[in-house]
Amino acid sequence: MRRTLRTVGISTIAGALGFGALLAAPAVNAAPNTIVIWVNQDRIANYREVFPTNSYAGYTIQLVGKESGKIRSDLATVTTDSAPDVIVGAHDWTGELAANGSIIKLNVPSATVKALAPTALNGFRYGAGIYGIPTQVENLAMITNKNLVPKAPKTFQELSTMALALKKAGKVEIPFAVQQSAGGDAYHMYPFETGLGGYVFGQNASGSVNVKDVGINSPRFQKNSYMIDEWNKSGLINSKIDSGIAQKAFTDGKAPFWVTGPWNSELISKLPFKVSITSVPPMVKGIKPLPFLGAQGGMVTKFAVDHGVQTGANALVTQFMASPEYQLPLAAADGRTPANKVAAAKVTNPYLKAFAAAGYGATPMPNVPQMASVWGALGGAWVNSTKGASAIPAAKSFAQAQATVVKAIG
Amino acid sequence: MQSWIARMGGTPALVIKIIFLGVLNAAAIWAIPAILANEAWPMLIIIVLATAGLDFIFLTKRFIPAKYVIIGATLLTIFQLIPIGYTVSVAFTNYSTGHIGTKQEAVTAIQRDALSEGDNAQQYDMLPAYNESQSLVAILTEVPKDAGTAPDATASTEPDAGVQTDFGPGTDTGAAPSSSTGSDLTSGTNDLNTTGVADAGSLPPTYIGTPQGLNLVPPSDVERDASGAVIGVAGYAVVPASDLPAIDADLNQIRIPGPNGGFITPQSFTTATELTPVVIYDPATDSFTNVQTGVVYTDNGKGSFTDPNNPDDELLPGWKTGVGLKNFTSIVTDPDIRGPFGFVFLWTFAYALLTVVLTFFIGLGLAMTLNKPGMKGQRTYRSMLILPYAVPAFLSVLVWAGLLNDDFGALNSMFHTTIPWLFDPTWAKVSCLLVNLWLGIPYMFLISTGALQAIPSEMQEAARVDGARQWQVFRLVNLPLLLIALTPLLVASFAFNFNNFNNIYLLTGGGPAVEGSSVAGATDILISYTYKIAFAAGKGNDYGLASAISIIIFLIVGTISAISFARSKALQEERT
Repeated sequence: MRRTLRTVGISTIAGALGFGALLAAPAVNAAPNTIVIWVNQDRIANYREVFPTNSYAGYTIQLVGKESGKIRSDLATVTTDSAPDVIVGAHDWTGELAANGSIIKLNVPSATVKALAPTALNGFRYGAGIYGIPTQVENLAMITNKNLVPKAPKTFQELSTMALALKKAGKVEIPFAVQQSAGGDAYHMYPFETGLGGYVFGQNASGSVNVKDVGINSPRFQKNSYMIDEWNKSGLINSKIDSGIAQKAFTDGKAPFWVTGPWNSELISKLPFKVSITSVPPMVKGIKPLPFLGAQGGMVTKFAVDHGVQTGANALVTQFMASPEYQLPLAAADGRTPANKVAAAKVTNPYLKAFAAAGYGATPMPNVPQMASVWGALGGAWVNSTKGASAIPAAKSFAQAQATVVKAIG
Repeated sequence: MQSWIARMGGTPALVIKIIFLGVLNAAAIWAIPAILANEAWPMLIIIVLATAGLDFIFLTKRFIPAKYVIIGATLLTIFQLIPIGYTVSVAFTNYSTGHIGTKQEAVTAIQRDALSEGDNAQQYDMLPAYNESQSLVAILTEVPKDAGTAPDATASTEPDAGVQTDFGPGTDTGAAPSSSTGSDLTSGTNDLNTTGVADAGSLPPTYIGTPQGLNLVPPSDVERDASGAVIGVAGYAVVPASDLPAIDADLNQIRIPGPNGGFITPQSFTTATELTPVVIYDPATDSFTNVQTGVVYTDNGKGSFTDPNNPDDELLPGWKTGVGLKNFTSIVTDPDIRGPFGFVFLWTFAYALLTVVLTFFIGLGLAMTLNKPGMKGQRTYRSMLILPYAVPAFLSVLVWAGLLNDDFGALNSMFHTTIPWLFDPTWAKVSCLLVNLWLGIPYMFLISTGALQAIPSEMQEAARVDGARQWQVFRLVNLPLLLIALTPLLVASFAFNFNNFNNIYLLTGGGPAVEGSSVAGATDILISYTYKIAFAAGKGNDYGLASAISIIIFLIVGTISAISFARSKALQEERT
């Protein structure tokens, strides 16, 4: 018995030491001069293309793929040892991450500021600072089936007449394919919000978001919101259309118009009929219906300081990531328009150019944490006002959405 | 069984034991350096004691019961008690967006972000170099402020004209028909590498920056390349590019007093900017003062520095701190939360109860129908009934969401109806129940089939001999016996559906919106409502409030379960 016990004890200790040494080795051996970048795991191959040698200015670049949402949430809980120095993510995370102190304010050289599309850079402004450098931008556009609509409508009223006539003639099933669903989709409905004169938040002089100015039901929007009730009554806009229905109807040739983004470029390029990619035609004279601008970009985390690579990380983000040398190959690999103006001009993909032109002048999706209260309220207002016979008049539902957001922000 | 256990007593058991304890000890040893680095002393003590304790229990011949209990107890602690304890501890804090770290981290972050280049800051091109005594200095060359401020042609040119918008078969998309947009965009001074024009007459001044300040370099000492860019200063050794990563942290520490009262700070290896703090921290009074406005921000006791005269004016980030019962009281006092709580609670209760009752009786009915001995195709029927249970629930729910679509769904088009399945508050509730029945019946069918087969047929025969009819046999013999066996499962099913977030979220997203209620939709149950309050309303994520509501849900479900179990126990005792 005693011998068995001793055998067990000795074996255990031996095993423990062996395993321990094996596991402890990598933990204490952090590579020096390495900049760790977290990128969306679905797009990591595209980022590998712009770091072919996995290095930048003498630093080793280590790309770590993570689920997009996890990049944002894990940054709050990650330990310093495994933390990234730079993250690549959506501009609308800026507010939350800056408020958490997870990302560092960048003092961007004026040459960089001038090289980037100002609206894209505004997406990374929070308070008085810039917290990221935009690398790619994307926005919605309206795709028109040229076989069904040979002559492009100049106004939304014209479009409405054409679409409803096609529907009446039985040529299409859905007159206008823009996705919502019971949960609402304020993002896809935003061109209609701006087209009628509304907006979500105003802007400070610096270009950052002013949450004290809520414009969901702005006076101008109130004046024009009767059109929503007309669209609902005629069946032009229907909140029961979700993303799948919208896409299928358009690609089957059963919808003349479709609102979607450049992520569907490849699908669009393979359609058996001619299409055009433009902005939604104006509903009110003088107002271009603009979608939200979405930007991807690089941000430096507070951990870069702890890891002793902040200067390198700053240089990487504010200089290399802002340059055409980085953004052009990325655009080619990733299928998004570069935020650098020179790189954007050199893009040859006509689909990307058409999408960019359709969103020209768009303001970035607000990047403040307060945006959390907008999605539900604004999406819900659109759903309720465009759900057919039982719809709530737009005047009422948008006033309610405005009140909800104002109250939630406090 | 006996022989199996006996066999396990020998060498295989020893091997398993060695591997198990080896992995355990290895994990502990692996964790210790990280714990030491974070100075988490309580954690260290717990890890060391737990590991030593487990080793001791498994290495002695005594404490046989403990060998069995300890594993379960450890897992219970890790997977149940720690999360519950953590939730409770978070419920009493302000843990939320902007309040995730310690106060020290917040102070550091505020000071870091307060450094501002101002409206008219001087930017410098920088070359890190060593002076004669081998200390790191910066060779700084002013970037002319007017460089590149020529009107930005791109900002005002709408690039619609010339962009190809038509695509499709027969269109040559390979070559854009016009490059006019391109040429418009490239005009202007957009080249990132342009840094001031080398005009021999007015070269920008070059300085040596040291912690003492800026020293102007005589133009004759400045070394330039062919384009006029500064590449060095006589008497200073420029740090070669390959050495720069090694001095990253040193460079980041350099603070050169600038001409405008700020500090010139490197922003990269080639640029530096004079930065001045907007707010300054005073450790003595634990407050920040805004240099420009004179406003003083003090610790408001709720995890933020705020202006006492204007509590909304706060410096970000704040920090995580205890707020007592605030999260709980706000559930009662905040009209936005309290208002919908009533109808959400009623619907949650109805949803969970109806789901359990309906799935149970339909499942039991099917089980009894298919329980007839000698029935043809019994296996096929049973397999088909279990199918919905085999498909991942979230997939089924998404398919159902498509089938139920009011205008485009298969259901309405098949039956030529116009039922507003998902967009009418009442019908949406019916849809939620329907889908839940589809998902829940197979489970109830399974457990009922099992329980029915366990009821001794003698009891039913005895009842029939006593003159009981079919219905009476079911009501007085089968059902009570079934309930004794199945009540715990029914209670568990109730608790599960009470918190069945996935089905609601995927089917209706809580919608349709209810008029007059800002957050809660018609089909929101407590847990989805909590999610919306905590993560989709207000100013970002509020983990503190979410934890508080979770605790209340836990208490509700716990109370209901306790009462049900007490009842079922009474039922059992009555029978025996």
